[in-house]
Amino acid sequence: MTTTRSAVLLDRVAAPAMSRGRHRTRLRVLRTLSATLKILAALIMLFPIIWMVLTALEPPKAAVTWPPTIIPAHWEWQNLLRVGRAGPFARWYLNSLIVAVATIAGNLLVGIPAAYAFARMRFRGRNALFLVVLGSLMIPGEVLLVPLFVMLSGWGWVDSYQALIVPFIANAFVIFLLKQFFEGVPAELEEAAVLDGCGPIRIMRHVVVPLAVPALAVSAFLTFISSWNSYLYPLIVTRSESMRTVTVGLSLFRSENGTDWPMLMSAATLIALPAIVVFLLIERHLKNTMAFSGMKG
Amino acid sequence: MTTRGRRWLPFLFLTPALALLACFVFYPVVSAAVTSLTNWNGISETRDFIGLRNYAELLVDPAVLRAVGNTLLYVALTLPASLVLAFLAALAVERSSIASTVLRMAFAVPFVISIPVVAIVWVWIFDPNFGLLNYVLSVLGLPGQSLLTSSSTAMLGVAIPSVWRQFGYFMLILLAGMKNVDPTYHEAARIDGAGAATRALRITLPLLGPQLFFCLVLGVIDAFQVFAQVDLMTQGGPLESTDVIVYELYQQGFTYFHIGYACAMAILLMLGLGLVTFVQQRWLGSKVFYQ
Repeated sequence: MTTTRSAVLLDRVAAPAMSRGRHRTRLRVLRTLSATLKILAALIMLFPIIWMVLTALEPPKAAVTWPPTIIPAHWEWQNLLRVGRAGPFARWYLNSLIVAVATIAGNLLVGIPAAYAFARMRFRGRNALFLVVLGSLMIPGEVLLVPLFVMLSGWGWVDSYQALIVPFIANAFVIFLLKQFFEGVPAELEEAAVLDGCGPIRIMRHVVVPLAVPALAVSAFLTFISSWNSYLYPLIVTRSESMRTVTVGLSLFRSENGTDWPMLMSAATLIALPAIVVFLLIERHLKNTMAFSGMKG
Repeated sequence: MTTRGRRWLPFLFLTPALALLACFVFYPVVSAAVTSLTNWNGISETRDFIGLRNYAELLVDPAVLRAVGNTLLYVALTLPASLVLAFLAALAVERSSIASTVLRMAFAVPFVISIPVVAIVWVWIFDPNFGLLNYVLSVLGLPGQSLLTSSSTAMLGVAIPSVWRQFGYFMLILLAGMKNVDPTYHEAARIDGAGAATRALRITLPLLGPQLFFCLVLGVIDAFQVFAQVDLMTQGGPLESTDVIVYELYQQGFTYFHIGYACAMAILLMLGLGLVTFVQQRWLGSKVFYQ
């Protein structure tokens, strides 16, 4: 609410009776005040994350003291290595990375041609097929859990990378997002390419896709987040310790190291890190697409 | 390229996507619907067709009804709070300045952190013995809490991290809407002497109708699917006070192997969400002010 309050004050400041100099000083004071309040609010908002990192770097015994240690007496960087060596955590991390990267690659490989066909090609049944694709977004993932599990068991896919990757390769939202973007590419560019003798495949590869890099990056980001963060599905389709993903692993870790908070928070920090970094890198591109993504955790 | 090749090309482009969707989305839904009419236990070779008996049982199963009630409680604890915070947050970061950008990032970043991580961090914060929350309370001279171990407060403990993680995302949606608000409305109101609070409530809020509505629909859909928080924070307890729909479904399907029953729950969840969305569209959608 800081903006609101300062804006109210600013209105008063703007009263014509006020001299120019005083006006300016007060304005500057208010700006500083509002900025300080905002930074303070940001710190409060981020405190759970800061607290996670602080605990992650505490010596194990320092976590279970009263009053809580806010700033560790010395930074225990060893904790991060301890997590890496503890059980199969490194393997879980690798599993999640493999799954996320493969899902992104699959999404783009399948999504780009589909989106291009919907955006630029004329064929019978186009609208109906597009509605079918969108219709898949109406189906909550929980409905698919049991039948997918039964089907994948039948194929012997339980406990495999395929089971974690293949069902998520076709993503209606990515197709939708890319279609919207492709439609925005000026048709003149493609017409010029046609005159130069390009076929549809070359136009897609050399004209449209290079222009769509921001949209591809956003799609890749959304896929990464949902793959990296998914929990219930990998919980069900993996069995052996070595095939767990990092989120499921965290839950196992918790039941095994229930009170070793520095260790758990180290694991949590390592899991949160890639998502936060990727988000900070891509945030400015998200503004318009994120609002309509329905991105889920 | 020949005309004939062109005619086939779109289908060539679409086949991988459509085949995968058919195999991993549409076929499983049909399969779930069919299985929901049987008493299959997941192991036996045979399954008996029992018609709608699973559905009839579901509607009077006390565990299921409790799970629905708990889920509604979760919706009530998270959604209004998230929407209000999102609106206030959007107002706070609307103007562009470095501090606003930092604050916007701070509000939005929890949304990309996975729910198990968020859940476990908050379990640590809520820890009755060494947790940060009790320390803050003791500094303020308030009695300590043990949110997650009491059946009357556990759902609140599950809801708080959810709100913390969610409202920044709603804020981003609202901010996108605020960009479209014609600034002349604000100028006119300012000339007429309306303060910032009045303008926020009388101009910004009503014009954000479509975005708030979108957040509401998304929020309800998300809340009905809550699972990871519950699994990591409370396992549905204490005394089943946080046993929500998807947690119950997970247990029926993957702990008790009541496959047919779990499928019936899943289908009802899908229909229920469809209905909620439809009602929201019809009832609220018509009242939202579109600019």
